[in-house]
Amino acid sequence: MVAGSARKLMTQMRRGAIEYCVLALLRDRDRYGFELTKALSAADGLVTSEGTVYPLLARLRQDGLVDTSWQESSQGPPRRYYRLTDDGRVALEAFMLQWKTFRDTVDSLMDGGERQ
Amino acid sequence: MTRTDVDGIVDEYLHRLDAALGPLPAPRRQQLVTEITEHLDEARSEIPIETEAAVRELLDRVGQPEEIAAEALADQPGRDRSSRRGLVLGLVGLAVLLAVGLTLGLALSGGGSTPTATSVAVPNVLGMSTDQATSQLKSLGEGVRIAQSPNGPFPAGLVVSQSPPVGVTIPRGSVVTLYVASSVPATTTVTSVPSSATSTSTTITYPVAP
Repeated sequence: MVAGSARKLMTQMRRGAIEYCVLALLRDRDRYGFELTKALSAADGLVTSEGTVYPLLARLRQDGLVDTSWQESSQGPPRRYYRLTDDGRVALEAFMLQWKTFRDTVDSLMDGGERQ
Repeated sequence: MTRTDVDGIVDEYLHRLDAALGPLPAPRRQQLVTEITEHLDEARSEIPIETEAAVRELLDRVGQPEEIAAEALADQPGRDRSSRRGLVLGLVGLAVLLAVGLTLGLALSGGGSTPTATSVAVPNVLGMSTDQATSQLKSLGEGVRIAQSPNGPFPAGLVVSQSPPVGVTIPRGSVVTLYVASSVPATTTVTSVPSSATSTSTTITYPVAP
């Protein structure tokens, strides 16, 4: 295994995980697009650019995991808010469970490997 | 640097994005361009002074249009659609948007669209000419921003999309963006604000650094 393939794997894992990170950001409250992209960009190395979040949101909406509504804003015009649907909540919970197991398993093997 | 120059840079960016999203079905393409436009409006409202450099930096953060398009096309199976099918889908998309807008409007205004002194329901100006749509919005006290949308089957000069959509309640004096079908290829930057709307667009001149 060379360094290049580890990088490729990380890219793929990031791509897969980021959708669930969006769902997680919507778990406790609705957010508008600009707010979501800000939160995701603040997380180091997760998204390459703010704009790529929107195709992802479109995909989540198409899959019925999020939906949108217009909400009044205290300043300026109303905003398009994203909301987690019931299906989205189920998908997020399922992912979190599997992710934790996966993460712990990999971590323990990595730690064991280091100790040898 | 005037506001109009900065608008030109943003419009050029949106044209590039629209062109890069070409292979997507029209409603999905329109949706993405609309959402990126909303994002840019939000981001621009946070800039204290809209210099060209500030706006270019903002666009850099949003990313190259081609990069966004690549993400959007990643899960798009390479189906080839006849132009007839594209047209039908486009029309269905518009009808759905319209229905959603109307439903939202009814829900938000509690059954009747009664404009108050401070807010107003966005009227339906889809399919109107740019001038017609602009004067209707101005009569309600709304500002108007025109964005060209190289939108396939529709005659040039007609409003094909609007943001916020029909029926949404907005504060009086907010700006409604009209997406106007253009026969011009996506590479040309055109920001045509009709004479009737010029009074609403402010030109701010910033001091030029020595």
